[in-house]
Amino acid sequence: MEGKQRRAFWVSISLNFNRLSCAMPNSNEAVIQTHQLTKRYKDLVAVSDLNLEIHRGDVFGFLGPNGSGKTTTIGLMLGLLMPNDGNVEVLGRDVRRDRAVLRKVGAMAETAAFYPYLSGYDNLRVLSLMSDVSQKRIWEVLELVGMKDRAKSRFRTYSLGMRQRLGIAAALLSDPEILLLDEPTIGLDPAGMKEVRHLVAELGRQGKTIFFCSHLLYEVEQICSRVAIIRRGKVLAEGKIAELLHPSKYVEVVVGETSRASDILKSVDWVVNLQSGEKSITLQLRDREASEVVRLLAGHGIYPSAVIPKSSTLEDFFLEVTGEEKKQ
Amino acid sequence: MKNLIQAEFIKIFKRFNVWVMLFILLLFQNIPAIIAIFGKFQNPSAYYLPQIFTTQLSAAATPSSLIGMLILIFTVSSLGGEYGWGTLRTVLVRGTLRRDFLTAKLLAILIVLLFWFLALLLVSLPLGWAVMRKMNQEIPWGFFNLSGGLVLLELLARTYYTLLPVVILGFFWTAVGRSVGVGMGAAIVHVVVADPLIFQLFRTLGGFWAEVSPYTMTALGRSVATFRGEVMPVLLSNQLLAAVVLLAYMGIFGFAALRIFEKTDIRFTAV
Repeated sequence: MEGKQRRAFWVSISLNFNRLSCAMPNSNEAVIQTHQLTKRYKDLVAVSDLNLEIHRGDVFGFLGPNGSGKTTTIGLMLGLLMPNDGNVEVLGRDVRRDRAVLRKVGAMAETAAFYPYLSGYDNLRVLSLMSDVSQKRIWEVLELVGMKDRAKSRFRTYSLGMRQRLGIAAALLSDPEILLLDEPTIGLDPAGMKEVRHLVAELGRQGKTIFFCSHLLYEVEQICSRVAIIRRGKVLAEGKIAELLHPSKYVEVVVGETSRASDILKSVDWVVNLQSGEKSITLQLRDREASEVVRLLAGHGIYPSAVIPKSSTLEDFFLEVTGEEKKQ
Repeated sequence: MKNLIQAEFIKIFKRFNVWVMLFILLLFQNIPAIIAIFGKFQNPSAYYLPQIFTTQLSAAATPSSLIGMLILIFTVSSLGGEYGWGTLRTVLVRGTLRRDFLTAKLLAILIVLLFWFLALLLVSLPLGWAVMRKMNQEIPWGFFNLSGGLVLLELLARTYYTLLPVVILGFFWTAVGRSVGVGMGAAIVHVVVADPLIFQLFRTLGGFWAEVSPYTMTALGRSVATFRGEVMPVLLSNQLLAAVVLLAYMGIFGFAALRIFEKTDIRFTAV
């Protein structure tokens, strides 16, 4: 997107947010619930006994490595896939029995899929007829995602980024209470990713409930209030980001003799993930405090000039959680 | 439902292939009439007015006719395209019932089929007139009255009814195959190869099998739409019975298509 277009995009976002209706956040009300949700593809268990609860107003990050079952979970939530066991309730209603509840959900499942021979506008027109949405609203959402200028071009001529934008526009078309977005920033340039991140964060602030799948842990950490980490169809960790990112056990030890200090630290079992640099050593402590490092090194006549606690990120946590699972 | 059908029309009429199919239909179906106008044709009277309407409809009155094949291709690509493009996901996540979606698609296709028939008859009018002028024949204006219109309507209804199973089978096999390729292959094999083959096999076997042979889909369609006995002999004299049995076939395949479409996963590329 060019500079002028991008500015227009931002202006349109600020103007249009005022028009978006929103529900008041109520953290106690579960708007999406999965109960013992299980999906198998022959011998492969894609999702196993999954129990999730997403509350109204949550911006919920759903994380996991490739093939962990994220997209399958979204497919089950949207009634596109049939579960082998368990069920999904959206706004208290089973999606398999009462599909009409999905009218209150906007979704972009996997990559944006549209009719290639129709224009962006016509594609949204087709969807608007299914959702009983006015033509005025089509132009509103096109403006919101910065696609108004290319609305009359055929979908097949769009770049991947433009396709994703149209996918987001389609998800927002019926002004839904709940948004399910599966990797919405795939294919976008860095500026586009930032715009989508702001858009999602702003929608969250407006009271929309957002279920957000992404590989980009940095963006999830920035915009999500709660996360769940899934691997091989099972939830490994779930909760508020602030609570999950417990005080870090990573420390950086600034020391003169890094080589000898590394050998000493490697000899104890409560030091893991040690990485030795030219002037410092980064390591992770297992059930010990940083002062133990100083005491150990001092016992060997090495005195660190500094021991700096490293701040924990969602990425660290993600790797830690999925790494623990690997060891098991 | 009205909105869903309207959405289907946007998809259908903005698709270039649909207009190409109509062009192919009108061109190839009328080649004999065009030859009769611009060259020599052995039996031009078949293209005189109003005989040209009967000729056109009888040529269309089998599933393996040009219009039958075109509507089969159209049906399969219409539903199979939704699987291939991934648009089923985009559409169904909006809370649209799968049953409603399929019904709207079916109704839209049947309306398009009717539109094709009407276009065919409309084009036949000037062509028949031109053939008659070329052969220095008087135009039988007397045909263009209410009773003539009713006769034409009956012929149209019979031919149309004969092609309905093609649409249903197109849906069934596409729902089974969940792609244009599989759906098209299976439906063509069913309509063009398997069903006529079974019919011939039953007749060859004789006895009980010969007696049930008129109840195969191809034979039933022929019985319903036979209005040129010299070309296609009547296989089942009770045309009402033929129509009812054909309806039962349509019901079975239609119901099966709907159940399969409702109960199967809309696949994702990633698991």
